[in-house]
Amino acid sequence: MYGYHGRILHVNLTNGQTHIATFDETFAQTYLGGNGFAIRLLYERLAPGIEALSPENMLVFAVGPATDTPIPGATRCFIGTKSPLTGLFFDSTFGGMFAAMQKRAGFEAITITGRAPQPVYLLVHEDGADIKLATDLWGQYTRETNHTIRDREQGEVEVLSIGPAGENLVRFACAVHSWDKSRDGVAGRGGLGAVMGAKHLKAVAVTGNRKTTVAHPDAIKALLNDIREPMKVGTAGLKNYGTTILVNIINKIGALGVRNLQTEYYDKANEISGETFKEAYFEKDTTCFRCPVACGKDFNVTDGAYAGTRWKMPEYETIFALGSMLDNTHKGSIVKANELCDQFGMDTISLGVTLAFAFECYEKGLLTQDRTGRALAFGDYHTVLELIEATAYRRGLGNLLAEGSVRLAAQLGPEANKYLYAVKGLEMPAHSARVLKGMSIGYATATRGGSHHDTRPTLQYATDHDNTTPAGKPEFAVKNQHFTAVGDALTQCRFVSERGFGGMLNDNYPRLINSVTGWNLSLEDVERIGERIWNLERAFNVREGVRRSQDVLPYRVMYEPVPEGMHKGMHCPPDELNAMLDAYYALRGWTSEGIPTPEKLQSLGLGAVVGQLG
Amino acid sequence: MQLTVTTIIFGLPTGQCTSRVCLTLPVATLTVQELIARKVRQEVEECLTHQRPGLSGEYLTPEELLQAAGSAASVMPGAVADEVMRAQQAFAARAYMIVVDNRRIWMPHEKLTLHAKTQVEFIKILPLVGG
Repeated sequence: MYGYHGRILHVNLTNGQTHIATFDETFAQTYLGGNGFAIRLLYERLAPGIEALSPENMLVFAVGPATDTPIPGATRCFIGTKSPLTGLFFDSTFGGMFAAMQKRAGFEAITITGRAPQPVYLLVHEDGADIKLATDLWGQYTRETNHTIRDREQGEVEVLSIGPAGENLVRFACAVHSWDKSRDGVAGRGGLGAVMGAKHLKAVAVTGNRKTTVAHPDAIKALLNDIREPMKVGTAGLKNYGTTILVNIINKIGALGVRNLQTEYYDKANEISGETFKEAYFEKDTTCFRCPVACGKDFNVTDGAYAGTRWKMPEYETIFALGSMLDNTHKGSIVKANELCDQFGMDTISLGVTLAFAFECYEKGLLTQDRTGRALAFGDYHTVLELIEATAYRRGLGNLLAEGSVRLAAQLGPEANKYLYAVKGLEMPAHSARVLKGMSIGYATATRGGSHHDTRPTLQYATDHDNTTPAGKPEFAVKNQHFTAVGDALTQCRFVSERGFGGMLNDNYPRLINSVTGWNLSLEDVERIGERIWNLERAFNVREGVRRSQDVLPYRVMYEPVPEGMHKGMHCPPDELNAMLDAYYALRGWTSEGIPTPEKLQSLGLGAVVGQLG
Repeated sequence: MQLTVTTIIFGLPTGQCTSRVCLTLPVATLTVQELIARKVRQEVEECLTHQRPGLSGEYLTPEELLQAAGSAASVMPGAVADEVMRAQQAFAARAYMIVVDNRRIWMPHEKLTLHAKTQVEFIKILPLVGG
């Protein structure tokens, strides 16, 4: 098979057994790879209702046909699991070099179940995997762990590990890959680091030398020639500033969350903008394997209390979560906070939004000093930094924060729900659910919950897109979700795919797939793969109890209009959301409760799912 | 009446670029089309008399803006009528937006009532990615 090695590695940490399975071309054409493989394996092998932090939960590391080929941006590795934050299907991705090395080990997917009796790491190689003791690594930070394992194993080895937060089962713990040659990667969202921690799995290392062969190298060259210019133009700002370039833009249009979304215009935004950060701290560009964009930057803090901190640039989402949402304009503290989150292994978005929620609850008297042990105030970055560590080790207030904002709210009474910014248990990112109507319906229906990687904001920021009206947004969300599902199955970086290949499915995508695999898929075929993956993800969630009532937006988004700025007055009231949901379900061929119908499932070749959804 | 119009180009490799032009308006009420025409005429005139280095650029294509940013050479105007027409067409195609006192203006024929302190912004967002 061109583009594939056709192998899946299954690992059971409880009994230490490993097993290599094979898959055929039909399986590959049905699910492509990445999240497609992950959801198929999880749906099939995970009994409904199991606890995310139990040994029965499964992690799936998956790559795709374009991984380790000349296709730029196919550098993401996908980790699928049942999330300890949402209790639903989740996939989180990371860049760097790991995905290419996993492919060289000869496995498109690696599944990991069970719980090791002691801390271990997994070394995956072409012949399978070795489970190795990691008792000496337990407690170490992520970067130190990655370096230690790489040095111990020698040769070309790529490593992804958890930090203390994952070990301590912080529900939004992440996993970090250090690619020393250039850009690190963080599988940030959904708490998969806690799933690793619950399995006593400190790290996964991969090594191998297998080459991926492609069917039509000349067709790939022609495709790359065609996408070169649009990618160059579309990523020019990104190349220079990384995602931080969004701070001033999104603030200008009045869509940057401030003080836990109390407003969406930040009069101090320029102090934490990409332009300001770059001028102050830029050290060098970094890039994922074979990516021409180089959106990563390394920073060196040269002033103030955190001078000497050298770490990767905080992304736009991090500046939102640990900056404007906390009314924090201290640049050095944001870089430091980013470093601590990476080293402890915690998602900056969930952490920052949970902190912002706690700060507002404290302001409103819902969270008092007898529980917090200290005063909480927006703008107090010293407290933020201390709480990051306390959360990673579950000390004091950190033990409450480690559960995420939704579980914290449950302890504070119903009034606290008004200040949550989360969907299906996942804290939301920095693309306004009030200002971008496509995100309103997109977040409500996202299989991950409050994620901007199921429905994308990118096209909604264009000035020719009317973000203010719900008209056409259910259609937009459906089409865009098929695009993200296919992109995730191809393990593509969003930036390269959106700006190079196109932000919606188009002829470039079957060209890409066919040139790698030698197949002859049409655009319609590719769209159908995206729809199949999306429906199977939904089916997984429906099996776990998700219905229309969970496809809902935070109180503040539905009831509190944006108080100032260019989009003053905008929100998404329940009637509007319901109308969009009706249209969305109808377009999808789902029931009014949001359940895929037997006819829809049959039409997508998912007949085996019929009858399992209640 | 004197009115300052601010142009902001977002997404350039050189970062956010802000420029201003001061207009003298004979009337306080005019259509968006007229506002665009007056703004562009003023900029062209200032370019031709070397009072400004180049067009502020909201109606230029991303390729033109990136080329100019890359070469450090500003884009100089053609004939006034051509530039005005291009700017009006680009607005109709929503290639940039006009924001008056924090309110986005969508229709070319909308009438605007302006005063000296009215905040008028022409905003161009180059292609970007959503985080």
